[in-house]
Amino acid sequence: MSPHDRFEVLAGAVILGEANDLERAQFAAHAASCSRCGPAGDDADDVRAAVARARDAETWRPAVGDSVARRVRESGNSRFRSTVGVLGAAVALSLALNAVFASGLSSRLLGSFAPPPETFGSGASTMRIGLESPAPRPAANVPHAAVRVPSRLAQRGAGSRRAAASRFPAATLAAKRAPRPAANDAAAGIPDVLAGLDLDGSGGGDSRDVAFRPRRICGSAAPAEASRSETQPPPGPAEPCSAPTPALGEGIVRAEGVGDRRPRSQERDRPDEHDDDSR
Amino acid sequence: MDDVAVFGRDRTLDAAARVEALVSEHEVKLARYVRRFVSDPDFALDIVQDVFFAAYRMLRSDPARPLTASWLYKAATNHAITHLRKKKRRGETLALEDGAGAFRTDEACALQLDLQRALAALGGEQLACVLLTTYAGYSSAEAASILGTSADAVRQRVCRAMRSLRKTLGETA
Repeated sequence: MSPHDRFEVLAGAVILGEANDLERAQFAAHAASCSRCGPAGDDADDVRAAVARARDAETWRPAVGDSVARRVRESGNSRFRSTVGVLGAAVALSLALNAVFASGLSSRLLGSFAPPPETFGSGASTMRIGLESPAPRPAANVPHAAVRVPSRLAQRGAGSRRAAASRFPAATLAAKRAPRPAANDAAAGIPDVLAGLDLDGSGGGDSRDVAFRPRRICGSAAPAEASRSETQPPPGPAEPCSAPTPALGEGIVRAEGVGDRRPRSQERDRPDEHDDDSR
Repeated sequence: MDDVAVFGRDRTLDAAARVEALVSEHEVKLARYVRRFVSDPDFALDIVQDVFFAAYRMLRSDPARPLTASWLYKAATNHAITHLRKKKRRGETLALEDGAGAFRTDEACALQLDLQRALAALGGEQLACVLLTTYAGYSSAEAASILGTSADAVRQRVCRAMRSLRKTLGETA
């Protein structure tokens, strides 16, 4: 605060009659030597007196009591009306809902939104489960589908098979490996979806690929090569054929990671398995 | 001055009765103060009604809240300053300017008009300080509490406002 600002505060106190004697003396000493602050308090009494005379000469007597009271009443009435309106609407809505539920109309209304059960029933009756139908033939340029089994799972399965072989005698294993009579499954009406799959790895060879589709040779279907490896050459020279021959490996389910194992012939060289077999 | 007195003293009364008591006690002084502020009696009456209705709503929502005369003047001052700012933004002239010649009949009326013109030339904050102290009779500390500022600021504004008023009234005379 500059000195002039401080003396403006003092001048205001002098004008309002709030300054004490010390403040009046300080202001008088400053105003005598300051051309800016000197006239500040000179005519202030005249202005203040003019304002006081104007206040005393006021004859205007406004009356706002009636208008304020009217606004207060209107406010109360509008509040009452809004409250009554909300309550009335709530009561009417509850009565209407009670009438709807009591008359049973609600179930009909809600039922109209539910889908008709005939729609699903007709679809189910016409849908066929294609377990017996052949797999769809892929397009010529489409790569062959392959189901990849993670190598960890495949190794776990191989380990369990070795454990089972160590626990059970060979006769029991042979009995377990004996093929199930298909007549029983057919009689029971259960399709043997696992037929043709080398599940226990007894197919021999380095590869664990399992083929479930017969190769077409010269227009006639050859016997299913259930466990032939794709690395092995075909037994004989392929006869010239005009029919489109599917690419090698078509429809092959490849168990990834199993082929990385050692061949079974090498596994059998291990001493512990020799002991198991001898037992 | 009843600045710190609690109005609506009988708190067993409802809000409407308390506001009615406030109106009967302060309507004239408050309306004159606001008219000096906005230089228009119609706007002054509107502002005073709004202030009393705001007091009614406040008492209705919180009956235990004390309502002082300072609150009334503070609300009226805020309304008046807002009105002056809107008027200045729209570029409107004072209604007093239009009828100054017609009503200038005697010396007292001429003084009123000249003083009102000089007051209208002040800014909102200086005008509030001058009217609260020299017209409504509040001290600088009370005016400071109403305006939300310090007593020194009120004194300084009064000093500057007086300088401007003296200059304007001297030119008019």
